[in-house]
Amino acid sequence: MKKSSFFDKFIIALVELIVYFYLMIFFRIESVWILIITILLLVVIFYLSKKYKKTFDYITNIFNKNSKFATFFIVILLILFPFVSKLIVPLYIYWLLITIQTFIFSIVALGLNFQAGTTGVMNLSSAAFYGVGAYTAGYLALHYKLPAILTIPIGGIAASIFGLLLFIPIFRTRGQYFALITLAFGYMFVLSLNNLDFVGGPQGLKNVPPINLFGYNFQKAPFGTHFYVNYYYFVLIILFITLFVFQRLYNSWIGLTLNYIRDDEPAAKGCGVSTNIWKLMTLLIGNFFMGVGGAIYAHMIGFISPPNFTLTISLLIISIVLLGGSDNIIGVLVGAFILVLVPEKLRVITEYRVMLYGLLIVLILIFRPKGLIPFKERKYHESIAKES
Amino acid sequence: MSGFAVILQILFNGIMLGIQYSMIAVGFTLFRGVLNVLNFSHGDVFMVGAFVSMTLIGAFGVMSATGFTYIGMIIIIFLLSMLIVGIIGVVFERLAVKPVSKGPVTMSLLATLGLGIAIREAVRLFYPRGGESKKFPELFHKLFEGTKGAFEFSGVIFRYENILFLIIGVVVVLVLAFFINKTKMGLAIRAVAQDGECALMMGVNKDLIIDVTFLIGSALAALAAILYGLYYNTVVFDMGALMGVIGLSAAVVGGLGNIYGAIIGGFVFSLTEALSAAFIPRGSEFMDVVAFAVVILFLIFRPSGILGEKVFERV
Repeated sequence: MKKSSFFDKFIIALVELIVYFYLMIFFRIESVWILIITILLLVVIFYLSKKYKKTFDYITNIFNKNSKFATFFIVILLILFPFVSKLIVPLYIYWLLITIQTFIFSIVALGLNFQAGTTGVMNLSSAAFYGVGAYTAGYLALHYKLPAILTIPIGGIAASIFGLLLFIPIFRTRGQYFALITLAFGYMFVLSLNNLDFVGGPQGLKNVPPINLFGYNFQKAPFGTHFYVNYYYFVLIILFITLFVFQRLYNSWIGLTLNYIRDDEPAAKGCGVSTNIWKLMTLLIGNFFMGVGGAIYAHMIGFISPPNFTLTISLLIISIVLLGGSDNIIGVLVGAFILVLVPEKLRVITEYRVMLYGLLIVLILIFRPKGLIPFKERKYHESIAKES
Repeated sequence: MSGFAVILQILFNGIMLGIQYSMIAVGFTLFRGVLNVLNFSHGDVFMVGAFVSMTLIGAFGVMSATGFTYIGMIIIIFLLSMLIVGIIGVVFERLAVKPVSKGPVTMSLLATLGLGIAIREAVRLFYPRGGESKKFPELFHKLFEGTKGAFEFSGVIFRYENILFLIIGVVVVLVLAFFINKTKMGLAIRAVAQDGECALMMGVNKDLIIDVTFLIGSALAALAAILYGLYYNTVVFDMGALMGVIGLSAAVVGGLGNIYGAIIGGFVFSLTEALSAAFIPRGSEFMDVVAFAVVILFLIFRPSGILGEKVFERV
């Protein structure tokens, strides 16, 4: 195979830089027109990609070949993001916060994607597990003064343990019945939160302390910027860890086993896959990351209450997974970007946002049931050929 | 109050709720039969029913009428709101539910959840002051003018209005049972539920049957909504979400696909709620939690429900 040339890398860098700076312009311009222009632009790109399929395929091929360099370049751009955006975008603090939220939802949605997309365990109470993480971390930090380095993993583990409550249902039910159980479970969680006094009932937990990592207080603004920059890097690191874990899981034999369970459970059982154990494992692993996301959220915002963890949020997380394309890690990131970040541009119609979520779910499932970026079939012969 | 009176009161309260739950559950069972979807937007169609009937009551000005016109107007309001909501239900079915019903069941479940949210938010945004909880107007109060409006039996007070709800519920169940079991249309519905393709070959217009089923199911939801409004006196735009889950849970507990099962399931759910509200400390706050826990237990240990047949998976 030919070694990738400098030219290829140049094209990758160019494409990523264009997208990056377009994003900055997108943040900078206040009016809704930029959104309309963006949508038109995407339509044009989509059209062109059909017409000039060869050029488009060439570029995607470059990206596939140099995936390491592409990732590396994106990482650099993301690390520079707070400083570049400070130069270009006047309201960069606000957009930084929104970006952090997008990342948190990406972490949570990746957890759900592992369950619903890879294994086919349709978990409709993701917001409940996200909430368990948030409440555990908040409660421990408030009442036991535990540092964030402990509360965040504990939040994740608590969400996993809470998921163990579903271990009998996951053994005994499938598909829609399991979905119904998780739905009822989510309702039970919110109803209980509203009525349990030790977690503040409807008032929730206030004044959750900010993250304090090895004596470095995240409330301090570094380099004359804003204290959100700390959270930005922290969440970015966690997001990379999450991506790494799920990428490795997906590409391993575990991912293949889980896909098998999703596609044909009786057949998987027939081939000696212990489907119950694996489904439980995905529930635990996915929940862990949901809980971590919730814990970070609790520390960053400092205030959590039951309305943050209702069915609407579960549906938002599911629509992130569905819109991007279930069982597709890049798709989940795109979905989080579209559903968490873009609506902030629509402040004019912020009232209509929830309704649009609902309609969006219906429209995606009618017209593009596999999502914007459908997952690719696994191809093993190619990767084997590359290695040898 | 004596122990007997307490039990009687709990049972009566449970039965009042059970009527509403079972009417919604019947809708779920019917839809599941003809389309193989768990239609979560049904709860929000129920909520639309409450708002439609409320608007109609306001428009007809029943308050001022007396005598026969009064009773006539009540009947017109009932029938009209059932018809309107039925048509709304058919429209939603055509636009959103049927197109997604061909995919995997979990996907159609998600789609109908999304549809439900869209309906709910649409009512909140476009109904005048839709975000607030509304007072549902009284409807039957003039029927019982001059009487005490209630009678007492061994220490428990029964309101005539509630007895009337009970009668309406029983009549509706009987009419529905007659329709499904004895008429040709009912036969067609059962045929489609059993095997859609086979029914098509036998000359059943499947699309029409699906429409009729959604008309009936949504009309029943509207009736349940009127009873709900009259019983609680307030309606809110987001009451459908919980009611939908309750209705579906009731249908599952009774056995999906079986109409009598749905009715029994509705009463099981409501009585669980009523009993836990009475006997568990702080039960009224946690009654839904207990009821959902019961549903989850049912789903785990008897997923085919009380009356449902055991289904084996075909590979």
